Amino acid sequence: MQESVPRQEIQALSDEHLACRAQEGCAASFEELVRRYQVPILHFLRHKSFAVDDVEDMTQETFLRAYRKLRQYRGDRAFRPWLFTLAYHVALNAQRDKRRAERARPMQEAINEAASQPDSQADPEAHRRLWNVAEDVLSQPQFTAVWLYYVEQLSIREIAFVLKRSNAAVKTTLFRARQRLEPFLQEFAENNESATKKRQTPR
Amino acid sequence: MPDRKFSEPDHDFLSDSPLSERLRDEALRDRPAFSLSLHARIVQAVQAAPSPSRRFTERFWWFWTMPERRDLLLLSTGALAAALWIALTAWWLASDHGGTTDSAAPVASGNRQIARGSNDVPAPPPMSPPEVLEAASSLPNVAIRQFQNTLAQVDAQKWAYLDHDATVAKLLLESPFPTGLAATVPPQ
Repeated sequence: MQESVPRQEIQALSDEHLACRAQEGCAASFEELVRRYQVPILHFLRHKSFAVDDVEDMTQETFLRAYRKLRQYRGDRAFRPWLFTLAYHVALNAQRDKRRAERARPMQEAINEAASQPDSQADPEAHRRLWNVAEDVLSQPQFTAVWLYYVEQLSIREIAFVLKRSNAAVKTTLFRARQRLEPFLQEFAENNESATKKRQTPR
Repeated sequence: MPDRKFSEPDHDFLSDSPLSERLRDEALRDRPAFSLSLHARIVQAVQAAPSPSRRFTERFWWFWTMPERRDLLLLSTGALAAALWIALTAWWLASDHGGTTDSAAPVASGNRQIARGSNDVPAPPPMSPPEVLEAASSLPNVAIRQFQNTLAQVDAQKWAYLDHDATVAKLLLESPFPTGLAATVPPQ
């Protein structure tokens, strides 16, 4: 179903308008939505400790779900939080499947596989990334709330829609997440300071 | 432009801080590049899926062609059919369509026969007052005749495994009543 719609016209439309047109069968509108949100969704899903191929599969799955559920989308709601809700659930399902697979796998097999594959965390800068720390110390809802607030700049109400919680619960979640990350931020700042002093010290 | 609608005025803990700046900067640095291959892959997958505006029958066909969902649909349909069948069978049995009262035990059937027999004794027809007086004068004979009829019926109806008791009952009924004496006195 290809329609010859001017690209400039498509690009000028809002996300909600494009979603409504896609509901009516406009393939070009949905393609534009994929173009706009491929990177944000991929970026969001990448911080879930999955392999690169898995992240791309999850991104594709998110958009497929969005296409199938387009009939449920209400045009009066913002499209971005609706799409991130789908991505959030795709990530939850994938993590659950991953945990099940790991539990079912014999421990020695897991150790051998980890030893044979290149360490994806071998990046020397990885330990200095606050987001890597956030992945380890924050719960799934906390991480998602922090990401959506600081990176995607969604409002509290929109984050509440994604997480299916109240506005007050989201604020509490964000507050607790910040409390857990603050000590690490101080640690990073101290490390930076000492590294700077070492470089400045003459030999 | 992001939509920030805070309902409460006090949200100092969410305001810009070193932590929020660091988180944003890191995310910006790590942001992946747009992938044409991934985009093409997604578009291709979406084109293979049925359009959200298609009719129900077409979407059902697409749903049917997915093996895992088809199996789930078949399983749920089978479970529903089984539940309906069980409910119908239970209703049919409860409404007594499955059996009749004709196959009752012999004792019960004997009881019913005796009960029917006692109902077969003809009741005296309704009579006017002079007829009642006339009947009253011959009452002993009528009563005796009715007794004799009853005894004959009891004798004729042999209960299963209760013949002995029926015989004893008959003898008890006969002995206190001098039926033979009434028969020797001629009516006046």
